[in-house]
Amino acid sequence: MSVSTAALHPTLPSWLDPRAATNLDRVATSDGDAIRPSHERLTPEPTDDSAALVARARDGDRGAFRKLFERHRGDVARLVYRMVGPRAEIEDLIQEVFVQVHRSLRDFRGEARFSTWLHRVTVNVVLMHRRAEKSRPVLAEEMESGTVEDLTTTMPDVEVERRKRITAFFALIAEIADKKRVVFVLHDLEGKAPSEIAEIVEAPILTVRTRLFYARRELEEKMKAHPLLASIVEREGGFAGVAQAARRESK
Amino acid sequence: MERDESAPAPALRAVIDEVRAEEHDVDWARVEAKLFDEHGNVRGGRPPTVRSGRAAAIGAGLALAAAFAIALISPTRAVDDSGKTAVTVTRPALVQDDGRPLQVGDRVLGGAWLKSSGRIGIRLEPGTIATVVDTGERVHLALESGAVVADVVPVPGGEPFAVDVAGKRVAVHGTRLRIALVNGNVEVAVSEGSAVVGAPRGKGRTEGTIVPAGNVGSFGATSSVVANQELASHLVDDALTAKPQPAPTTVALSPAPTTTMPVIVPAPKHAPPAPAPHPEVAPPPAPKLGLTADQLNAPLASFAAKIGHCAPSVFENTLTLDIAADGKAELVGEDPGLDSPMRACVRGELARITFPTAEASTTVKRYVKFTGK
Repeated sequence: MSVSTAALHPTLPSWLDPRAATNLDRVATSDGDAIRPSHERLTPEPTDDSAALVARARDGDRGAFRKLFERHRGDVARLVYRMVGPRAEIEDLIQEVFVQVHRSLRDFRGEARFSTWLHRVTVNVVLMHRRAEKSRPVLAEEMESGTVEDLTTTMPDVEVERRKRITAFFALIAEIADKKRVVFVLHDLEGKAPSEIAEIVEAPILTVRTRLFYARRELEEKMKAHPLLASIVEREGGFAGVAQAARRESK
Repeated sequence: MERDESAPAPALRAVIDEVRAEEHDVDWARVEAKLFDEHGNVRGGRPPTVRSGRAAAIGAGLALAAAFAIALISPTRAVDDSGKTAVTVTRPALVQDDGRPLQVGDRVLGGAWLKSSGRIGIRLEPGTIATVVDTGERVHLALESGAVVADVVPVPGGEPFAVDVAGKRVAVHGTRLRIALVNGNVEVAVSEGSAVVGAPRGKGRTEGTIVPAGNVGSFGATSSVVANQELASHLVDDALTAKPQPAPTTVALSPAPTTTMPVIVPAPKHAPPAPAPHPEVAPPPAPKLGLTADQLNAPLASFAAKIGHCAPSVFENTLTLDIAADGKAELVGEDPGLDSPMRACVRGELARITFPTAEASTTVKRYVKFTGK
């Protein structure tokens, strides 16, 4: 017997219903910028070309691997940044991702798109890094060292405020559980479709949607309590509804 | 009203849009330099191999069996008929510049360049004596005298390189640094990445004081870490870009090494490394250091007390000061930015503060709280 998730979990919204298989994708299409902004799309995947490069790199062609690196490094850098925030070790993580890619090329069978596989490797490297980091005590000197560049820069007040909001938001993202955070970053920040996220995190689409729902709700609660971000909640009329905001915009 | 949960709420959406618009600058030249060696090979990556179908399965099986057999016979070393030592590499090897491997207990002298599977490059400065403690996942040296300069490919969360010196352990997260023993003090200069200086803890993670990039630390009876990018870069980067020495450094060591450079005294068989003699080694030149924390504390406290009136009301800020070697200080950064009258007032008070002279300039960041007029 088939029972909808919404029926099993009254608190879950209807779009989590597995029968609404492509609900989010339709929203993405109709809402455009809301889910998958056009300027945020990844470099168009030249599937055949990437596959050929992967094959050549697997054969030991150093030039092919460098081309893969040059083609995809921007995507990796952006995803790493969005997963860890403005941190000093971003370049180290990017490097580690490509070291892992190089080591694992033989395991890439071409069943998924290369970019999907690359995102999976990137997510795993970042999560491994975070787990290792958690086991290491953070010292005062280390916390301060991450802000060295910012301290020497004089910025207009508006820019300072914006930076502070972004840093605060990344701190909130870092507080939520890994699985939810990954889905939130991939969907709401990277603009990926739930079907592709499901491939990246190797989970059912319904699970992806559930994690996204709870990630957003958790972030909303944290924003309300945050001194820097609560004003945005206030300004936007709380989290009462998209429909209200849409009405305001139309007026 | 029921919310449409398929899109983020407006407040969340507003922040998401800000984050999406944010770009993070990446120094790709540096990433490439760390990722690829001079031949275009990926540092720390295994060269991909081509295998397919049944042949791959057979090949893998044979390789596995051979590896297992070798491991059973000799996990680390085997001796061939000629009596020469052949090395079976079963873990990341530490080798000299010419490819000759090192083993635990080997003593290495100044002038040597060592590397480990493309992940670590180490230069022993002239007059240096070091013993190899471990060549595995963490390359570990014990520094008896002199200085080592290293370029270490970072391992997220790991300590790929460590040096024990003067009762302390300098653990390296990456990437470029110099560790020296100067007059009983441990000097650590980091030009990229970070290092931790703490007590040796076996194979466990080192905990202690972090020396971040652009800082020079001195650890002895008293410890200090001072920001000095110029000095750190000079000590580390210049040493790493120097060409290998044409001849070994003269070191009075018994027995005197007669091999060509790099000079290695092999570890004695079935015995722990002998205690280090006290060779007549000319100490390496002392690095030029800026002011220590002790020297900075008093004048900075005086400065912080005097600028309270520079703001019309209570106001918190982080100031960056550049203190020249002659003791003259200059305001070079503010967070958040100050308006012109406040900045002029702060500069006026700073001009009245006298800092001690030092061998090099010092950059210091100081949190201050303006109390208001």
